[in-house]
Amino acid sequence: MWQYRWWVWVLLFVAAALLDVSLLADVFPGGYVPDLVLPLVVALAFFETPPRGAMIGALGGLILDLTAGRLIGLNMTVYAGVGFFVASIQSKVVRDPVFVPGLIGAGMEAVVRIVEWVLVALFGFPLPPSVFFQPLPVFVLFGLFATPGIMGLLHLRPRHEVDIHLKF
Amino acid sequence: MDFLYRYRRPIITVLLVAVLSALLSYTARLRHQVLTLSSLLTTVTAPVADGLTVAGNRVGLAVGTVGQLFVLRQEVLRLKSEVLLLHTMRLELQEVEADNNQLRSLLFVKQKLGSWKLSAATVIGRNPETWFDTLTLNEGSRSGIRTGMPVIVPQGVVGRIVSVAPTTSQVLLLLDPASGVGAMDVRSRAAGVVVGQDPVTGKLKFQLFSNQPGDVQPGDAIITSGFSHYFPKGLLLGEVSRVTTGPSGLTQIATVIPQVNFNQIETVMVVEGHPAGEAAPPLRGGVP
Repeated sequence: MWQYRWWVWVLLFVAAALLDVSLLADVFPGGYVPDLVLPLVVALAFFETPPRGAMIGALGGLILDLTAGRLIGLNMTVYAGVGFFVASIQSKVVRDPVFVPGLIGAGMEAVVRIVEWVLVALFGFPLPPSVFFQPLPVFVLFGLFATPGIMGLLHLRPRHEVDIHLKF
Repeated sequence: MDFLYRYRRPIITVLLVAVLSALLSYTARLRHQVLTLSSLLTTVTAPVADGLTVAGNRVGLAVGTVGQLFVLRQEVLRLKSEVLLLHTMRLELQEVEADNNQLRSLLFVKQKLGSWKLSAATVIGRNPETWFDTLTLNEGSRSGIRTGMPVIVPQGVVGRIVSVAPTTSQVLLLLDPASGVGAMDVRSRAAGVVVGQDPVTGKLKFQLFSNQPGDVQPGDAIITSGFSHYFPKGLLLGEVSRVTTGPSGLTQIATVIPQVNFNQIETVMVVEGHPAGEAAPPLRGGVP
């Protein structure tokens, strides 16, 4: 199934990063531009094992870091943690295609923002709290809708469903 | 009797002519009475005539409308497409007007900075991260762009080139926390450094080297000082909105609102070269 191939992840992450820098950056004002790579990491990791979830996150973060060209490794580290976390909890939560992924996506937006804010400050860029708090509702809402939206758009499914489908 | 029967038609005709002649002759003399009689008749028949006329008009209109329905439908479709076309044309004209204004202002800058070597470039991307502010331009080293070149628009300084590829280049915006520009207060000539405060509020921070009271005040214009390696003197950075004292109490820090709207930058000018030591003339006013 294509959703479990690494080169498909690369293509999806590159497409998401391109949409980030071109389309979303034109639609949202500066500082409020949401990131499409994070909901994609959550959506893909939702159907994976924790190590593969971490790999997805690292790959998505790396592509975003390379696109941004600043602090290479920042998003790679944080998104790898997100991928691992999402893949770890996905078996423990109710398999709901909209509500649960949306909530996880929204929660991850908030967590990632605060972790990155701290990391950015640690690496020599102490930004005021407003940079974190002001656009937070935009990012949380974006994660809430974008994560299940991506899952629906790409028609992502659990591995056992795909296996059954392939057997028949 | 046979005579009358045989010539009945000429006789009747003659009689009718005679009666009509007599009647005409009589009514010609009694004109007023004839009109009154006519008016009386008209008055009696008027409601009926009126009703018939209205009904006739309505029927005529209805028949005409039914007949015109197909024509009207065609007309509505034609007018709708015409409205759509005009609406599209209006939107296109608005866009052309906006582009024209922008290009006019860029041309104005180019004329104003006659001895400077400027190159126009279009913004094709923005940094996907919230923490940093960079732009991607559609011109790179093949167009003569090099690292460190200042990037300006008619409203003021945008930033400087930080990396160059053959066909693209990255601009570090003034808003970025890593940016730093040598600046001075136009009124007091007090010098300092302008750095990005945060990308969300879009404000700058002006840290003065001196600590003389009144060196910087709200409303002061801040320009590049020319002390930094990258930016020539005299380019507008923004206007002071608030002045505070630094944490140590030794320095003054001013919040500067940039004149450039960083959310609406489409085309910029890259300063490829400028006469050494020459300050930029005032560019305020944008479009002449």
